Amino acid sequence: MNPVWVVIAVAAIGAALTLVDLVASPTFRRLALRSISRRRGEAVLIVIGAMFGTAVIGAALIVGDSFDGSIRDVARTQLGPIDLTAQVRPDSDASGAARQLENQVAHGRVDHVDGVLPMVVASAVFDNGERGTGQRVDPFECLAEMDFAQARRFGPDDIGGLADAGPTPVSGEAVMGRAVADQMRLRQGDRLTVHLYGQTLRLDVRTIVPTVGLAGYCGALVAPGTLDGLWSSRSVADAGTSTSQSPVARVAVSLDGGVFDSTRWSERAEEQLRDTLGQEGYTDAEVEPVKANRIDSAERNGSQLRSIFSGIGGFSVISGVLLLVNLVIMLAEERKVEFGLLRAVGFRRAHLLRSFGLEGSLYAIAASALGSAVSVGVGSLVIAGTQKIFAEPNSTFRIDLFVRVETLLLAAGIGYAISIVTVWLASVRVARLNIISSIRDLPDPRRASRHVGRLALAILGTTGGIVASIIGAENGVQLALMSGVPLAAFCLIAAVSQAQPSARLPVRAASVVCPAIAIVWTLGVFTAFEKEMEHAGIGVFVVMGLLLVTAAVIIAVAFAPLWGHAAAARGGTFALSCRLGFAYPLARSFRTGLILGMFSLVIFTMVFMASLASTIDGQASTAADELDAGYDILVDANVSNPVSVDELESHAGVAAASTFLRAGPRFTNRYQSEETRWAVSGFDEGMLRFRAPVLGKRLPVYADDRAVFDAVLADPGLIVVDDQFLLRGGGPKDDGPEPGDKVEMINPAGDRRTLTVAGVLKTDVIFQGSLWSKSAVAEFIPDAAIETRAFVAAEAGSSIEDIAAVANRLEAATVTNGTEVETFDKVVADELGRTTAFMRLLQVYLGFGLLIGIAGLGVVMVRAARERRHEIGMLRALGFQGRVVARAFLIEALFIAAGGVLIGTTLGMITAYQVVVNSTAFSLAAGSFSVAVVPLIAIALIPTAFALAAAAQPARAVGRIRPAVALRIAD
Amino acid sequence: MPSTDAPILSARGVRKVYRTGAVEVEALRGIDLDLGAGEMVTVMGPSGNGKTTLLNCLSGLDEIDAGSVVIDGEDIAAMSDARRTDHRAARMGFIFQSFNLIGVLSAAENVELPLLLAGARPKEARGRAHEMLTRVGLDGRDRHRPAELSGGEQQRVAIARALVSEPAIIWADEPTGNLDSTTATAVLDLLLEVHSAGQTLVIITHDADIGASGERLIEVRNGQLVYDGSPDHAHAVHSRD
Repeated sequence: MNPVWVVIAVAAIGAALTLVDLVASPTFRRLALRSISRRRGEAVLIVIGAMFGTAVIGAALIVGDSFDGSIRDVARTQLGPIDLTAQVRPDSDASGAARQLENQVAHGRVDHVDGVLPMVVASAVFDNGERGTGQRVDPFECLAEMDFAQARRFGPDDIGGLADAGPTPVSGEAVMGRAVADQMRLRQGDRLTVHLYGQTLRLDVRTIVPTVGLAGYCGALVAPGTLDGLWSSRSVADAGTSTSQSPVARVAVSLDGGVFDSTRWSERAEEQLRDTLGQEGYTDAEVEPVKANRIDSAERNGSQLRSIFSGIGGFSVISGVLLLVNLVIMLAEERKVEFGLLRAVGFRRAHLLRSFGLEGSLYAIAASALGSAVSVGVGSLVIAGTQKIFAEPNSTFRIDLFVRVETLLLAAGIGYAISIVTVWLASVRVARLNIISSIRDLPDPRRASRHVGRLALAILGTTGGIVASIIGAENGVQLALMSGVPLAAFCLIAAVSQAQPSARLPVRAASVVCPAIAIVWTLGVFTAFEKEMEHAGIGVFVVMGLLLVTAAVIIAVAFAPLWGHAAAARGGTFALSCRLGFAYPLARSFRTGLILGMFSLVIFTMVFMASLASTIDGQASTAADELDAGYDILVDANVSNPVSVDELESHAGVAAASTFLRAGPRFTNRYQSEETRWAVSGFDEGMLRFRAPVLGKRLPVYADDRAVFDAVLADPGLIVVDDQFLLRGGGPKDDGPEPGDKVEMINPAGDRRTLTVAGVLKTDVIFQGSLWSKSAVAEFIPDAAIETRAFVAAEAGSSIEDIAAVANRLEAATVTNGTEVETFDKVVADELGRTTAFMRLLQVYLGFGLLIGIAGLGVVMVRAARERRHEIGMLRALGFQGRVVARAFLIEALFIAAGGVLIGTTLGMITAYQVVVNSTAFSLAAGSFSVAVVPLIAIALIPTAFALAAAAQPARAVGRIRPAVALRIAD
Repeated sequence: MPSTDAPILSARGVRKVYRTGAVEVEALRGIDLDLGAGEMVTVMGPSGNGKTTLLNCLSGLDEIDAGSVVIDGEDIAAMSDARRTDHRAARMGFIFQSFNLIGVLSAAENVELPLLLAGARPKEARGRAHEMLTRVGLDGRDRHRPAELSGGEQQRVAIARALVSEPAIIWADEPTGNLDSTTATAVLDLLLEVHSAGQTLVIITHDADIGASGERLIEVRNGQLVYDGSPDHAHAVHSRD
């Protein structure tokens, strides 16, 4: 069952019960509404505290929607009516080939086709012709030729985008979409310079049209015959360039329906199109369901980001739940006498539950509505941050904020469901009160007898946990293996507590020993079960953090009396404040555990992220050394105008160059059965001139990494793959490539080749994809593979500055080749910088969890001030100065905040260390863990300071309490 | 124990008004009162007539609107809150009807609070708290929290806390109000024993027997002292009224 439906069902039940009780139960309504109106200020604080959870959930959903929506929108702006494309790469006369393709498709058996449009497309370098700061070059643009009259018939004007584009461009003219024109700073009448096939073409920008449909399909639409003309004159003009990719003869196929609803026919149409072209002898035709792929990608990316932000936000949500439980318990304890009296006059437990639940539900409704609204603001901040981090210099893609009413309602529903379930569970505890002790405002009597049911449940939990670990170990289920024993240990505490209800010592001993076992197991499982825990995904580490925090909080609460004894051993008013400050948290261990857990969880996650970010930052230079094979500079060029080795080596300061034959065939392997496009880079001995790229793993038959690459060159049945091979979307994963894996490569003609993985690259931030011998790539993917990438070595002894200067000169000299030239250090630093920036964005997002922690502590202290008013009055009567009592309050807040910081920081660092050492999720080098000193200090100090600030107001208030008023002893 | 000539507390023209919105209630209307050192005074009167307000104002727990309360030669009404608090810590002990123990502290920890406040060393304070608990009949109950004690035992802890720093004046507001008659008698005996040690004891009570057990009875009605004299004559005065 879809969990969303469960949540919606819970929310609906909660809302329905609330409505029924509001309308049909005047007593419950009166009690709930008057309790709220009696303490409006506190009601507002509770609503604000509970609101953050919904805001965090809503923001995660909005971020996902925005990515999804923005990528989907590309289907409208860059595809319009185009659902599928079929293409071939003829040696000449691409226009004729496109028309032939059109003819085959139009007369073939493909269902739901409502239009076929032939076109010729080529990759090109765009240049606005200016020099200096006004120059704009886009090295990876495309040119397309199509007949505008036919194009208008192909798609309706509103989605085709050519309604106002005028007639088909004639020679020397270009029609451009607004987005690319703006990016190139070109206006109507300006001149666009394009470079391809070693030639330069100057085009007058005749018309600029909105970037929609066919108008956004390529950067510029040009006169039919232009590309064939350039290609045919290439042999004379392209001296000095490497083999480039010929113009592509393509047909665009439109299926029945509009922009988005036509994709339902895609899968079937793709098969029929392949069959049709295959029957007609087009064995090398490439058919791609472009729109369906785009929408799949949108959904995948949106879902992935939604998961990341929901997962990270989950810590904040858990903190919010802990806060809510704390608040409900405090509210209940404050009204204990009232509840006892209600039970005495005839309220059943269910009545009490409903009455209290109604009040909680009203808070939850207000909080979820407010949180849903706030989530729009939080989501837009995250989108703005993400846009900034991932902005590509030559990309027109933007992430726009998409806010859907359904999303806001869903966020409100989830927030409400979480809140109402929390309130109900806490209310069940409240409803089980002892009537006499409640009326007399005494603690519930300690049970002397065992509760057999609970004892049995605890023993069952203990056994179940151990069994889960055993099963997890046998079947390689990492979560079960890791969490089984800790859960058993936690259940054992409950079992001891139920078995010895009146004995404190065994329970206290269990509260220290069992969590200690949980911690040792959780940390040790990675070494004890190295094989089973290999490829641990980030989810495993999140659960690991939760288990560690839970265990540490239990130990902290069990050991807490030591703090009290330490304070008691000292004299003076400060020690008195300490004693009072510790006394309350120590006496209410459950509540203390909740609030300490709330604070620890948030700090834990922030420290975890900061430590990972710091480690990734520190790996930039190491990662560059691991992948550069001893070269200094990475050159990527446009497929229509690549640079040859000779040309690269002819530049001043360049000692050597080695090119890669690049293509994007499809692959499958043991964990990816769906044919997936992945890069292949064909290398030759030149790459190994200085040293081999570093491998993370290799087949044991090879003595070293170099031997692996030599073997790949010698044997076309071997391949080296990157560490993220066929792991869609990158990021966290539970599986990964291994030496010895079999992979199947499929070329555009559909031929298949089974290869053995000889080694796995340690890191691949330059997206080599897979490394195969250049001759094998040329033989298996003859037309699609182009030498678009090169490694360049600067002259021996060049400094970092010299290398950067060579890179700059190279780029300037090869601008017409559409090159992007960067030093390896910069490429790696930029790429890792994006990762760390994204992690910092997640940390900012987590800041909302911190707000919950800080606000929660403030709310708890405000409530504590009210709850202890009588006792504070007594202390003041005894002669305690207001400042001593106020200081005790601050010490109490400090105890929680500092405890949370200590637990969270320690465990966050340990968990991050485990990730670095044991996980391949972030491609981090084992042993490279680095401590993020400055962020850690900030994470430790800022929340503590804010927590103290949040507690300052209630502390001031208790310091000003007049004893006579607090004691309520006035006649 | 007979009182000495010099009053330990001298109140003149004490006036206290409670204000709730626009409503003003004059709880004390110009009280003049002297308490001698070592005196045992009982305060009686109907509910809501100002007995507890009188205790609050004379002890410095509450501020007064007019008049003066001089203790040891100093007007506590003119003192800052901080000084008045210090004065209270040094010179007074309190016993309340609802015990008012700190629920999260043990019996010994509750009793030693005034000593620690006075600057005693923790070990010494714990020793004296133990002695005092033994004196009030709670030997072996040092580590028990209030919730683990009976009402009578809690009040004994409160008495031990009020006495432990040997204050000059002990204020007891309905000390037996929450106790059964047997426990109430035991608590009263304890208070009388305290008084016999020379400390001034002021007990607010509704119980005529306790009222009669003091050396001096004060009766408060409508915020005024309507009787101040021997408990023996109180009945005769009331009869004449």
